[in-house]
Amino acid sequence: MIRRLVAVVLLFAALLTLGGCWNYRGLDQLSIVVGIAIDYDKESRLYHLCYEIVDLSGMNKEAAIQSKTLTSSGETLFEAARNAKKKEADKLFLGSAQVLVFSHQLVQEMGILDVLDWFLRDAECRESMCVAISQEDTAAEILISSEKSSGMMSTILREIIMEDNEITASANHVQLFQVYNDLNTPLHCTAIPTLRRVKRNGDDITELNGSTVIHEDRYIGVISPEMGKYLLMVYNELKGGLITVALSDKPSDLITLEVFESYTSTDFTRDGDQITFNIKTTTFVTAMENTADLGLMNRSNLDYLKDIAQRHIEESIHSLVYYCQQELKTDILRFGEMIYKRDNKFWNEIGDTWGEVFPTVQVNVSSRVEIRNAGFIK
Amino acid sequence: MRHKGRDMFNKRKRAQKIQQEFDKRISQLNDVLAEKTVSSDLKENLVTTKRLFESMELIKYKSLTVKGAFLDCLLVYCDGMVSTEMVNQSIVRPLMTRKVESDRPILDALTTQVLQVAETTRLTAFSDIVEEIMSGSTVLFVDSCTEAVALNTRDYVLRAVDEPENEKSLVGPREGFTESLLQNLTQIIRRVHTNELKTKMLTIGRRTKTSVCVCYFDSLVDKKLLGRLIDQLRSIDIDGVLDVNYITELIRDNKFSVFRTTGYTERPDTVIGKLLEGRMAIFVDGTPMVLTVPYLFIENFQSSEDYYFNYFYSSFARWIRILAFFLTVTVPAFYIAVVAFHQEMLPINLLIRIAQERQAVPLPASLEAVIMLLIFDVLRETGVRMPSNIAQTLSIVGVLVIGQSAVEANLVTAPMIIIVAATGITSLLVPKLNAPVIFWRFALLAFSTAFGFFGFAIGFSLMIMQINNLSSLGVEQTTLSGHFRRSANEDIFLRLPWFMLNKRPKKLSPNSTRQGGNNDD
Repeated sequence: MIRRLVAVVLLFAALLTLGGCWNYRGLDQLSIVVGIAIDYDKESRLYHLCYEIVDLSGMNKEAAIQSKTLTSSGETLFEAARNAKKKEADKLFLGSAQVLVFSHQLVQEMGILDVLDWFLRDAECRESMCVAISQEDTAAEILISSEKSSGMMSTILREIIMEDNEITASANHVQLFQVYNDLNTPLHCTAIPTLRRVKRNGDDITELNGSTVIHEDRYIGVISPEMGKYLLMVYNELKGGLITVALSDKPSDLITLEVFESYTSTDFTRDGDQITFNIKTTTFVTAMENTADLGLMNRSNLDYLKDIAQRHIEESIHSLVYYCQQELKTDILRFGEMIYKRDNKFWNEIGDTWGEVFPTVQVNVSSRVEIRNAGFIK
Repeated sequence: MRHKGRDMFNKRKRAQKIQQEFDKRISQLNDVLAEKTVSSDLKENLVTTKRLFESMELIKYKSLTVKGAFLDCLLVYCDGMVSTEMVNQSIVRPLMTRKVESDRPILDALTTQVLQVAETTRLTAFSDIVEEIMSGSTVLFVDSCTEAVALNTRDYVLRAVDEPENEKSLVGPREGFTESLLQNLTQIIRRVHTNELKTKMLTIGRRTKTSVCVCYFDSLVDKKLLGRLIDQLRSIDIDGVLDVNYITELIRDNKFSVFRTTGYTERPDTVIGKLLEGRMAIFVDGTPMVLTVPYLFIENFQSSEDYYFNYFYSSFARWIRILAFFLTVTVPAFYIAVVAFHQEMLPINLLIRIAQERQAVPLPASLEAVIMLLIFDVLRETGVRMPSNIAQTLSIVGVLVIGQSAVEANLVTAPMIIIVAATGITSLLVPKLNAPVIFWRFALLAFSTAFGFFGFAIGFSLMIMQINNLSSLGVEQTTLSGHFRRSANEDIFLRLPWFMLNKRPKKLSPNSTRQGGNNDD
C-alpha cells in the first residue's frame, strides 16, 4: 500500500516537470499582442519593436475592439523586448499574434533569419503568424492604423494577406515557420508579401504590393503584383483574381476574366544535362467585363477569347520564369524543391551547383482556359 | 500530544467494550426465549409470548374455547398487520361455532375442517413464531399441543400503484412498483405468463428479517452468475435492509468506484426487459426500487422509453446522452485549461472577449469555476429536497441573484455562467451517473488547474481506465478490447429496430438468440 502511494506521489511529481513551460496564467494578467513590427535603425544601431496590443481597459461590450501600440528599443531584439516589458505591467502574450512586419531596411541591412530564430525559440510565440515586409520608411507605420475607429490593424493586415490569393491574387502568403523553413531548405529562398500605404480618397489604405524575394538571408529583389499572380499559378495556389486580356492595342479592347478555379501540374524531364520543366495549367474563368466589342454568344468568338487568354497566361508565366532565371537568379519557383522531392539522387548531383543550373532550365508552359460563363454581356 | 492520543484510544476501547457487553446480554436474553419451543401447557406459552413481546402493546392476545372439543386456544396477532375481519370471520367464528368431529389429531382437524384460512404453517420454535407474528400472521396455540399454527392473515395499508416520480415516461406503461414485495412480484407475473419465471426467496437482515427475492428466467440466466449472486446474498451479514442500495453496496465488485455496478428501476416493464436479456432482478420488501444485475456501462445511457419510441429517435437520444456525459464531466476542466494555460487555442476575437470579461473579475478562473459549480449543486440539491411550491422562489434566486446580478456586479464572468449552465443541463440528462459525474468533474477540474491540458489528458485517461475496469458480478461493464461483433453492438450506440434486434448481450445470457432462432423460448 505504501509502495503504491509512493508510486502515485512520484507520478504526480513527474507531472509537474513534464508540464514544461505551461503555467497557470490568468487572462486578466496578460496583454494580448496581436501584431508586431520590427525596425532597425542603421545610424543608432537600435532595434525598434512596435507591438499592437488589445486595449482592454476602456472597453465597453458594445463597441468594437480597440488596440493600442507599445514601442521600445534596444541594441538587441531581446533587449528591446525586455524594455517593452518595463512599460507594460502585464505580461506580453505572443500566443495570439496575427502578423509580423519587417521593415525593408531590416531585410536589407541585417537579414531576418536571426529575428525569425529568436521568435521561434520563444515557447509561446504563434508560429503561424503572417509575415510581411513594409515598403514604408518604418514597419511600425504599417501597424499603426491611421483611423482609430477601425479596430485592430493586425487582424485587418492578416485578412489582406491571407485572403489575397482569392481576391486580387498578387502575392503568396507565408507564415513565420514557413519563412524559416524556406530559408533553411536547400533552396534558401522565399518570397514574402510586401505591404505599402497608398492614399485613396484622402484615406491611408494599406495594400499588398507584390513580394520581396530573399535568398540566403539577403535581399534580392521584388516580384510585382502582376507577376505574383502567375507565381501563385505556378505554386498551384491561385484561387481567384482577375486576368485581363487585350484583344488589340486599343486601350478599350479589354476583356476581364475572373478566375474561379485554377489547377497547375508541373513535372520535369532530363536529357543529359538539360532539365526541362513542363507546366500545365487549367483555369476556369468567367468573362466579367467586356469593353471590347466581342460577342460572346458566338462560339467562334469564345474560342478566340480562350485562345488569347491561354496565350496570355503562357506568355506571362514565361516572362516570370525569365525574370527569375535571368534577373533574380533565384529559384523562387521551387523547381529545385521538386527535383529534391522526386529525384533525390539527381538532386545530390546537382544540388550544390543549383544556382548555376537553374538559369539554364528550360520551361514549357501549356495552358488551358475554360470559359464557364459568358455572363449577360453582349 | 501523544498522551492525549492514548487517552482517546483508551476511551474508545472502553466504549467498545461496554457496547459488546450490552449486545451480548441482549442477545442472551433473546436467545433463551427464542430458542424455546412450544410447550404443551397453554399458560406457559402465553407467558413466554408475553415476555417476548414485552412493552409491545400492538400485540393482541385472544383466548377462546374450541366448540365441541372444549379445548382452550390462544390467538396472537399484531394489530394493524392483520385483517381484523378475516381474524373474526375465518378464525374466531369457526373455532367458536363449528364442532370438531374427527379422531384425527386436533391440529390437523382444526386446519382441515374448521379454520377458513388458505395458508397455514406449523411452527415449533418461538423464533419463527415471532417472525410470523411480526409479519402479519395470526398464530394459534392450542392447549396440549406442542405445535402452533401460523395463519396467513396479512393485510396492511399499502401505497397504491402509481407512476414512478423519477422515471416518468411519455409512452409505454405507466405503472410503478410499490413497497410491497408480493405486489411487486405480481406486477411481474401479470406480464409474464410462463413457468420459466423463477423466484428465489431469501431473508436478509438480523433484525429486520427483510424478505428478498431473486427473480430470473430459467432458460436465459447464466447459472454461474446466478449461483454467485445467491452466494453473495447469503453471505450478507447486516442488521437491517431498508432499501436495495444496502444490498448494492454489499455485493458490488468495485467497492470504492463511484460508478454504478447494479441497475435500479421502479418500473416493472424495465425489469422484465432486463430479465429477458438474461439478467437477474433483486426485489427487496419495503422499497419500490428493484435491482438488476449484471449491469453494463451502456445501461447508464439506456432508458425503457428507448424501446417504445421509434428506433431512429432512440438512437439519437442515446448519442445525446453519451455526449452529455462527456460534456458535463469535461466542459469546466476544458474551459479552465484553455483560459488559464493555452490561450493560443482560442480564436483571437473570442480570446479578447473572454479577456475583457476576466479583466474586471477578482477571482482566478478556476476558483470561480469551483464556486459556481458548488452553487449550482447547492441549488440542485435544494430543489430536490424542497416542497415543490417553493421551487419557484429557488429558480428566481438562481436566475436573478446568481445569473444576472453576479455578472453585473463583476463578481463572475458571463462565460463562466454559460459554462456552468451547460454543465448543469447536460448533467440532468444522465441521472444514473450523478455520483461519478460530480466526482470526475471536480477531479478533472483540479487536474486542469494544476497542469493544463496535460493534466486534463491524464485525468481523462484515469477516468476511462476506471470505466474500463468496472465489472458487475464479474461481468465486464465495457468491452473496449476484442473484435467488433454486431451481435454485441445491436443495442449499444444504436438501438436497432426490433426486427433487427436479434441477439441478447452474449456476456449476460448463454441463450443469446432473441428471435428467429430455433432454440428460443
